[in-house]
Amino acid sequence: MNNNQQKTSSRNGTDESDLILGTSLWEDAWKRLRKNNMALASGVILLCLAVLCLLGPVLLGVFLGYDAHTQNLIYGPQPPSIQHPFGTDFYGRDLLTRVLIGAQVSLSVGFLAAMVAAFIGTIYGAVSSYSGGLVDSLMMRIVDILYALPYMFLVIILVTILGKSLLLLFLALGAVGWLLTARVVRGQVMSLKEQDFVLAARSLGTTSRSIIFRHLIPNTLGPVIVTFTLTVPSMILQEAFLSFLGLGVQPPQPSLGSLINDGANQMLVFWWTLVFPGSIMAIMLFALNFLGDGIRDALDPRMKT
Amino acid sequence: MVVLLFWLKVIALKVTLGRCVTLLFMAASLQLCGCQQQQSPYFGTVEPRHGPEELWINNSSEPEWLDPGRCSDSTGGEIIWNTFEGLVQAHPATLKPLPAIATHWDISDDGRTYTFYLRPSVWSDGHDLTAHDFVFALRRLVDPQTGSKYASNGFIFQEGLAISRGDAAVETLGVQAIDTHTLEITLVDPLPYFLNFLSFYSFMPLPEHLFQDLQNRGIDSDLWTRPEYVVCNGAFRMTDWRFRQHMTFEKNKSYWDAASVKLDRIRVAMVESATTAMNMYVAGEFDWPGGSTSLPAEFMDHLKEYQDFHSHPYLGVYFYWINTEEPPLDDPLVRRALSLAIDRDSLVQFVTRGGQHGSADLVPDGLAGYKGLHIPVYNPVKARQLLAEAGYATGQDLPLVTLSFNTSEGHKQVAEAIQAMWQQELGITVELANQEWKVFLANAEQTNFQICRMGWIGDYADPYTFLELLTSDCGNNHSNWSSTTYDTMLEQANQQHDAEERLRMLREAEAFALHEQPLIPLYVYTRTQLIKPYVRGIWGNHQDRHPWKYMWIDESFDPHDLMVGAGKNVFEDGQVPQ
Repeated sequence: MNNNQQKTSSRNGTDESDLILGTSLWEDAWKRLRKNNMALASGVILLCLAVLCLLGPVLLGVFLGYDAHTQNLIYGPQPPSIQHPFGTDFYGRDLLTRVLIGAQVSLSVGFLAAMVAAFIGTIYGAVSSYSGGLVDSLMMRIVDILYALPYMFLVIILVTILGKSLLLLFLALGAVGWLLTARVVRGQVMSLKEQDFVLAARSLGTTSRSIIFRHLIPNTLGPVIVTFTLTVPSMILQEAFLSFLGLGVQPPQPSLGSLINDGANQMLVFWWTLVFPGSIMAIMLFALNFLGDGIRDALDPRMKT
Repeated sequence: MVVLLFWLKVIALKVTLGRCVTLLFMAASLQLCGCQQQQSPYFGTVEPRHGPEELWINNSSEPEWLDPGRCSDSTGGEIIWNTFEGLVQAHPATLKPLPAIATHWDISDDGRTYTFYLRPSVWSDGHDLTAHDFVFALRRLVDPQTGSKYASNGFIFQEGLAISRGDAAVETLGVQAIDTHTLEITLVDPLPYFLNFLSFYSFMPLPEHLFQDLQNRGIDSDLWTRPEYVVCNGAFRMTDWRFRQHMTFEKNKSYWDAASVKLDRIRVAMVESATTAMNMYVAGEFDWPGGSTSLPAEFMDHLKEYQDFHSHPYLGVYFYWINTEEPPLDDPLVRRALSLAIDRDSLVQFVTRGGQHGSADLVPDGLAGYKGLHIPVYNPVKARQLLAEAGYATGQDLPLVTLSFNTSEGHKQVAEAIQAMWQQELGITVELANQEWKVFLANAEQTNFQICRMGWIGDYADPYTFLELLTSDCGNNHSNWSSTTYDTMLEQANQQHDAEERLRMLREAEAFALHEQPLIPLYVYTRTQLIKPYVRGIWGNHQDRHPWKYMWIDESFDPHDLMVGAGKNVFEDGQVPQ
């Protein structure tokens, strides 16, 4: 469908260039996205959060000498104050610094794991669909089987086997999270591969490999981006869940999940240790989901401009 | 908060996993509100959620063994103490030995031979309990085929050590049945603490007829502690065991002292998380979070204000075992550097917060007249020096060290604090690993760790209960460290008749062992617990033994009378049994 749209607009562009200025799919989408205030605001919030997470800890370290790991037991857990806007945790560490670093970890785990998932899923879906027949059935049944297995269970097994490092955590989450992308891409390629441009490429003797990577995959990018933006928040939640169980990011490294876990244990006495990481997590997930929804709507050609 | 909850709800509908987080937040906001309304002098509900014949408690984790001959952990011990009865029992408040299966006993002049006269009593299946059941149990304890970690408890009997090493036949053990109701025990040394020690769970009788019966039926006799088979002689009998959920115990009607058992049923849950256990206590799911459940450190200051909070000294040491074979920890200098870099005073004051006492000694102070070593606890300068002497100019040169502990917030907090201390004082990078209790114990037993957390509770009021941990033949010595010099030092001390001189020799041995630092003592325990005001018959004692047989529910307690002081302090004015 996206492809149809693209072809229509390009034909318009060449034939009636004097009368109507052609708009590409991406320009169209951008126009629609700009009208979606919620999505736009979410994007801005996310951008601010990302910048804060990256620069915040550095600035706090340079100007106030805070860092996320140095414990100061005598200082202990302090409620929010001017020196420590988010208060301090059980070990006397500045909570703002820890929340920012935790958000940094969560965001990067979310994005990297989603990228791993998108990468595997796109290639798998495209190859499966383009090959068709027995290979397609077989590859898709594997996806069905993996779908049937409890997702978190698989990740926990992978984390246990691979060990508890941050990099492996991206891989483990990504390695299990590609199933949805694979299905979406397969459906997309199913219709694409019957199109004339694929026939043309094939008649010119292009190899299957080039057809998949040069022609098919670039045309599925829209839906892949949509799945990607919606995978990021779910990955962040899963990382939080794993860290909550003690399987994800290991102390003293903070992540939003482990901060919330610590906070949940202490919420009756030190409320700020739950409220601040929890709120940041909520804002982040909220923004990511709205942005994802916005992009999906924007890329949907059936939506009126 | 409400807005946040709404946002989270929206997301949770999209992402299934989000529900966990949402629930958490809802729980958080509810708890925060609940906290402000509370006016009661008690923490949580004071209305029992069950009848007066029942008690709900926690036992923190799935016990490794419920077999008296094999058990070596406190969660299993808690169950064994209440389902089995030995020759003597410990007084619930003073821990003095009281007659149990033995009605009285004679002691020989040299203090090495004890003759016990047993009362006629029966097992829970109606079989007569005889002196032979004790002989069977104690032979099994030291038998190398049993593989008990606590075989060392049997080394006090004549030939115990030789049997355990496979050098003598089990029949030669210094425990003999003179007739069906007379038992003679011969000790290697005239131990001053023997009767006190005899109430320990390793010395319970075992139903020999059950083992034979199971073997005849072709059932693995290791399964004898399962509720469908188990035969016991204590106050309670297990009737149901749901893995990692709970166990149910019913009063044992054939128990010799059944008349003084007040409760009919006890439900024992296995909740590992201290915070969860505490929240369940608030909700009335537990009347007493149980002997082995600690309270979350963050709440200590808050809990101290409630009337149902109690604390008492506890004869236990919290320490870290070190695997002394694996580099870089095979070097005693490195081990001592690690110990010296720990600021124990801050640790107990700001992390554990329960009134514990920071100490680098293995034996707590004041035990049967024993003067503690008072090893200097915190000296980071010396620690860095020792590390440099060992060939590591900075901590970064040291390979990554893993510190393992069993899953619990309390252990995690201590581990995180010490991880930071070692990082900040010495620059050493430490990785934390948490494991479920049974897995953790299995790893500890095989010395499959670098540093691991352990606590040791004195089994009797004598320094030897701690010093014995480091002997070569002790099944609970997980450090790979052993020294014949140390073993001889202890042996010679125990042969000493002069009590003062014996303590001095034990003290020398302790100093010798701690200079090698096969373990890093951190602090001496203090027991803190919550007990519902309607629960009676629990006393604080320094071994934290709380026999269920004395516990009862006080129906005269008025839950609506929330005046301060309405509920009596069970810890201090319960009637102490004779």
